[in-house]
Amino acid sequence: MKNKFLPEQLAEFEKSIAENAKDQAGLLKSIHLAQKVFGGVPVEIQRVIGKHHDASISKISGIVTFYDYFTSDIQGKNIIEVCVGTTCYVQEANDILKKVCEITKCEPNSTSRNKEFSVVIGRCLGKCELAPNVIINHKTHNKVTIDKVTELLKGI
Amino acid sequence: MDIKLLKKIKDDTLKRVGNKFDKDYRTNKEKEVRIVLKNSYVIDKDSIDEYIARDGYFALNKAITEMKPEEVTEVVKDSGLKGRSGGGFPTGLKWGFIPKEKGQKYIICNADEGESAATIDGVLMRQDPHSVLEGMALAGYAIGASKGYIYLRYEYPVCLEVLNKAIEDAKEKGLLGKKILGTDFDFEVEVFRGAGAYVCGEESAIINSIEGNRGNSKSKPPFPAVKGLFSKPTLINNVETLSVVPQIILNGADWYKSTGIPGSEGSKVFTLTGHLNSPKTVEVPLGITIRELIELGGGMRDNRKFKAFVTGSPNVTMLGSEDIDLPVAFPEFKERQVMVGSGGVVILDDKTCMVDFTHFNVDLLNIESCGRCTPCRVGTKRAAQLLEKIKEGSASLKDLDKLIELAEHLRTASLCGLGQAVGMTMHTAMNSFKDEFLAHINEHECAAGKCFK
Repeated sequence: MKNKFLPEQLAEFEKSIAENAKDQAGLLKSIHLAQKVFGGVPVEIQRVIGKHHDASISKISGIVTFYDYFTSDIQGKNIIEVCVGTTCYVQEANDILKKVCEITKCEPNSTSRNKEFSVVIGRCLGKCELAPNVIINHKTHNKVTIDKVTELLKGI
Repeated sequence: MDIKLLKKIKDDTLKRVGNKFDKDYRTNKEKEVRIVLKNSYVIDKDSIDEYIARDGYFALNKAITEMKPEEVTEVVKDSGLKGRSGGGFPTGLKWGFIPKEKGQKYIICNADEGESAATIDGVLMRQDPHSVLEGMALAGYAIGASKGYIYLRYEYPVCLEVLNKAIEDAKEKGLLGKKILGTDFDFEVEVFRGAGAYVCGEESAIINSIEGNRGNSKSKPPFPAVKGLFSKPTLINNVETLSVVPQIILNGADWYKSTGIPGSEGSKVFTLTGHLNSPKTVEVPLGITIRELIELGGGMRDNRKFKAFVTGSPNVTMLGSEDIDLPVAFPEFKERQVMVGSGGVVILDDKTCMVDFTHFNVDLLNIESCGRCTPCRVGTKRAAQLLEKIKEGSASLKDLDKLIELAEHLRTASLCGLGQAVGMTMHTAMNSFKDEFLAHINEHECAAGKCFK
């Protein structure tokens, strides 16, 4: 699938990563920025980053696929992250994940066809005392139950 | 900035805040201590003045004006402080490994608190960011490094804001940056964000990640102390370890040793989670028993029976109910191949199936394995398959033997801590819950009712 980006957006992005390219530790920063600005790091963007950082596309692709928070697809409008870390798992987080997938018609770690939802499997969000946790559009919800998550998803 | 100004800020702030610092949030004043969490929940996290009022940056001043770098390392060595992120390696010894020659060196603060169930570093960075910065500066002075990176995990956006503000404030006051406290010591700190990979809590994987590579672990030697970040000598310490260094320098090694027991000096912060009445973060002296920890967490939820004490995760190691009176200490735990871990503790009740729990963790580690070395890449996969077989009811005793063999191979042959700890996970699970594994295989019985569906 071809992705389209606004020329102004691309120009501004290139300016920022040209700065990062001077930094020894700049490559991951550029990929972070791409994920934030475009909602994903598709091949087109990987090529742009590679050009500035003097890195091969296979290297960038390797990095994007290695880390959980980089996606090579553009993510959906609403991002739902269900924590399945150990503490959440022993408190039935898997059932919550199943329910979320059922409602959003999404597989775990993918984006729904209508680009409305992305369901992400989280590995510990650092709020284990209040498990299980779900993050919906950057807002953390604690002590989530199946009923609560159904209610929350209705709200979007 | 000099010591006079530092003292003035302290006095002024103490006058301003009144009795705010007398607040004590501990629920059990006998068993809990306040060393690492001295300032957490007490001071305003955004106020560098309040940190200074709690003797903040006085240790840095003491070190760089009165002590030689080697003396700083010596004090840390004497204190018996051990790395708080799982391995339990003596911190002072690690500092001593860095070559003495001048040149570019780096400090990395390992804030990739990937262990689920552990939220200690997150609490520290959110509540008391300056103690981490001061600890890094002290380590920088001791080994002669001028640049520090905080490798922060992606899941902590709040910490990023708090740390960046703290760095700005400290720079403005001349406590970080060039010519710290009017001396010739320069030290910069930068926060580097990870991107969600469990293996990036491992030293060489962090280095790879900052350099802009996949977070694969490297084979050692060369150790990071000799050839680390950008091929320069690098010291990597955990957040909790670094944040307690200022107090050790200020109060001396003997003061630190007075808490805890010989061989396990000092205190440790634990996040108590799982099937407890009131899961929470507590700081206790090392040597406390598991029973006491459960009591601090409000006892078992719904009056159920205690089944397993689990440290770390997904690289878990576990102890069964017969070990409930075992002290939480490095030598005792090491004997049983259990890690004290980074402080994440999951207490499980008798409704949990340990085969299922082990399978969950091994399966997760299989996903998180970086794939660099064969024992870990293939071993975790095969182990997960064998455990799945036991869960389904198609396993024989031969498969259990295979699992035991596999655990040993993983523990001894893996490249980094991740794979080695998977071996420990399986070993401790099969050791402490042997009967349960046998019941699954022989009688197709799952007491918790999770398997054979």
